[in-house]
Amino acid sequence: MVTSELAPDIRLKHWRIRLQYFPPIAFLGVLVSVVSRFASFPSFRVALAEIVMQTAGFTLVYIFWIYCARTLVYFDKDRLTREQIMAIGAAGGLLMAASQSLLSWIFQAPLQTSFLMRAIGNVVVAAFWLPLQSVVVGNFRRYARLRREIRDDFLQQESVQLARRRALEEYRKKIEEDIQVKLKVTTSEAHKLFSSLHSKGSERLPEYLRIISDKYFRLTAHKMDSKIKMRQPKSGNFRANFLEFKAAVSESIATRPLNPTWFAIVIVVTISVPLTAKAKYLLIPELALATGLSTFVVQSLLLRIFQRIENRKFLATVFATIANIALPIAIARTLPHNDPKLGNHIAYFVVVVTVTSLGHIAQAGILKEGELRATSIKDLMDLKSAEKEQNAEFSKITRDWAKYIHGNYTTKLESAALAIEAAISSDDSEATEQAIGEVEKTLKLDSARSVSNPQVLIKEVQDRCANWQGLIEIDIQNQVKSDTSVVASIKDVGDCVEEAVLNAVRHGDCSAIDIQILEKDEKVCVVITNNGKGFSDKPRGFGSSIYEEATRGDWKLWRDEKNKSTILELNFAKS
Amino acid sequence: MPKLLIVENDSFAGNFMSKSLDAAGFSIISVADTAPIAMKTFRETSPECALIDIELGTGPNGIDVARAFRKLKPGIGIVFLTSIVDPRLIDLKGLELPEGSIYLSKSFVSDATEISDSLHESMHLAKSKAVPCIIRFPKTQLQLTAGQFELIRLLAEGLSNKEIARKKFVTVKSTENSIARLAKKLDLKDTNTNSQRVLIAKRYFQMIGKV
Repeated sequence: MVTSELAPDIRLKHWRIRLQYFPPIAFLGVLVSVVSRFASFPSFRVALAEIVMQTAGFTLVYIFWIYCARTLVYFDKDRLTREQIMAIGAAGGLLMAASQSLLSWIFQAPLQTSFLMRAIGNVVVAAFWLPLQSVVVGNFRRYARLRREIRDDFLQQESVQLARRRALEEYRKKIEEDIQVKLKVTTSEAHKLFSSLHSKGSERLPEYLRIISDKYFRLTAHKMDSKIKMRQPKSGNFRANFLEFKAAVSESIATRPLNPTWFAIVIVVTISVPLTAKAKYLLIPELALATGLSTFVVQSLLLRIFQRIENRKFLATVFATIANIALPIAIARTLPHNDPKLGNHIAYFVVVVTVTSLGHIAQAGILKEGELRATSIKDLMDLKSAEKEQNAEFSKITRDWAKYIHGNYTTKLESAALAIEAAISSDDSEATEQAIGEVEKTLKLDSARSVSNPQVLIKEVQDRCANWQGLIEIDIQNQVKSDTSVVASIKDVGDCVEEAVLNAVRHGDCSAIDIQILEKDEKVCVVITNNGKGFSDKPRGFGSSIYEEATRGDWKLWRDEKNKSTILELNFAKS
Repeated sequence: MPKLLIVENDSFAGNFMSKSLDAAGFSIISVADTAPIAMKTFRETSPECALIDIELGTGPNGIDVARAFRKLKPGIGIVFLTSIVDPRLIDLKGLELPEGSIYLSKSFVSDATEISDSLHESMHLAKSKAVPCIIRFPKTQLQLTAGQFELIRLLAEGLSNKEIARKKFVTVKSTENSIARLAKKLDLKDTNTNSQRVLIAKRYFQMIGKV
């Protein structure tokens, strides 16, 4: 029972240790390498989105990996032979490559899918991809920490002492009960007796202690100490040290009974990613090679199948794989991991970042535009923009046609406005500039003809009415002084007058129209009166929008029932 | 010999018709190419019938002129002769074709006798009351609904689906569907929606005789 009480303490302790010591520098290293990878993305926006999503994925997997590493260290019995590990490594590589490719294909290929889908896709992909990176970066430091923690901090200082304290307590209780029964005294009296006995230093106490420890722990204090001694590094050979350390830890763990629930979780977890990663980066070059090669073959194959990559991309995969294989080998062979000094950490960090970055840069360099996904993203973007261009082109043809047929001012402006809209929606800054220029040109052309004196204005009104003369009687009177000019363009005024005449004839059924141009306060007022039947309800539609636009809202239409006439008043501000 | 006034802004077509109808037994007063000239001539000569083109450039159109004629002389026979195959193709803005008039499409007319027959008929129709305008289509009649006529006009004006939807107070989706149906009716089989749009516009301009 004591063991099960003890076990949570161990877990808790290690959980804390992992969170505390899992190298933030290493995480930064991964980020740096990832940023170098993103540098080749087609646009900043895409790169930013990728970084955000990958970081989310990293965080998830980071936590996931911590958990996996923790469980592995506790329950891996080192029962597997090297061949078995290699096979698992290869299978893991296969699984990872398959998942990655398949998930990329499902989630990332159709960029048209929603951002959320892409985010989910990236997080899922990262969940499979990241352990490789995080393990590479974090593995050695993690094991170095673990070893030191277990050796110095945990087992020696805490576990043994705790066990001894508990054993002593149990022993004390037993002795006290014994005293109580045999001497027929109360509990407190028994406790006092025992305390006096203990303080005097019973010769038999260590023996009692040993018996109780043995009974409850199946592991004597003596044995424990000998194991701890075994874990001291013997030589500079890291691999030998590591294996020895691993064996020692496994043996010490093996003496503790397993909780079935924990065991089930461990089995599930160890089947997937962490075992692969472990096999690849356990500092055994052969394993790294086997996993790397299987990953390379399968990934290339799957990429060809799912993403239809070209040969040069295949070559890029070769480079990436070489980088992946080279990295653990380089680290395994060059760095003194068993001596976790700050200088080593920095050297290690530099190597990791350099090798990873170089791998990605090589990949990106070969692909020109960037890595595989970047290329497919760009392809899709090109496709989309081409489609947009086509759309814009077709819209332009129709509009140009309309312009050609109708050729009037409103259509020209309308089509220009639509062209701007189309240009903006297709993200084409050049076309936007051009369309804006078109509008400016049209407006400028028009403003050049703006009303500068009443003669021009009256001439325009007369011109517009000329075609209607005969159909109805139109009387035009001008009362504006010769030095007055208005803000509105002459064309606007003409359009308004013509529209008013047209409405009066067609809908008002009138026989005479009287147009007066006069000055009122700061405005030039055009009053168009007709003797038609008037309007039945509030006028709306094309005409009213013309008046609204030309007068900037300063117009009114009303019926004078007394004189049986309909009056439209248009007010233009003086310039 | 009935007195005939021709209102036509294309001088070639005007003169050609003038000659043909003169031969068909009409007394041609003149060929007026603008609304004011037509009105002036009408007041001076009081013709018994008029042959009017709808497109008269800026200002009033042929229908405005015809209505003015009718106001001055209710018994005048009116025949519209235009390149627009169907009056529904142009935006009349609530303008109605005068009662008892006849609408002829130029593509329907093969010789001057058809026009002279229509003129005689229109003079007869003008006397009887409340007969709606008779519209004579070409042999291949347009089987379009009123909504489709409006739609084809708006498309040809270069309006986007969104703008059409706003104008007709419907959704963009239903506008898209309407366009697809229209294209099917016009027998335009292109699956690309954009080129389809251009083709519809082209068909429209063909129908109003601008292409």
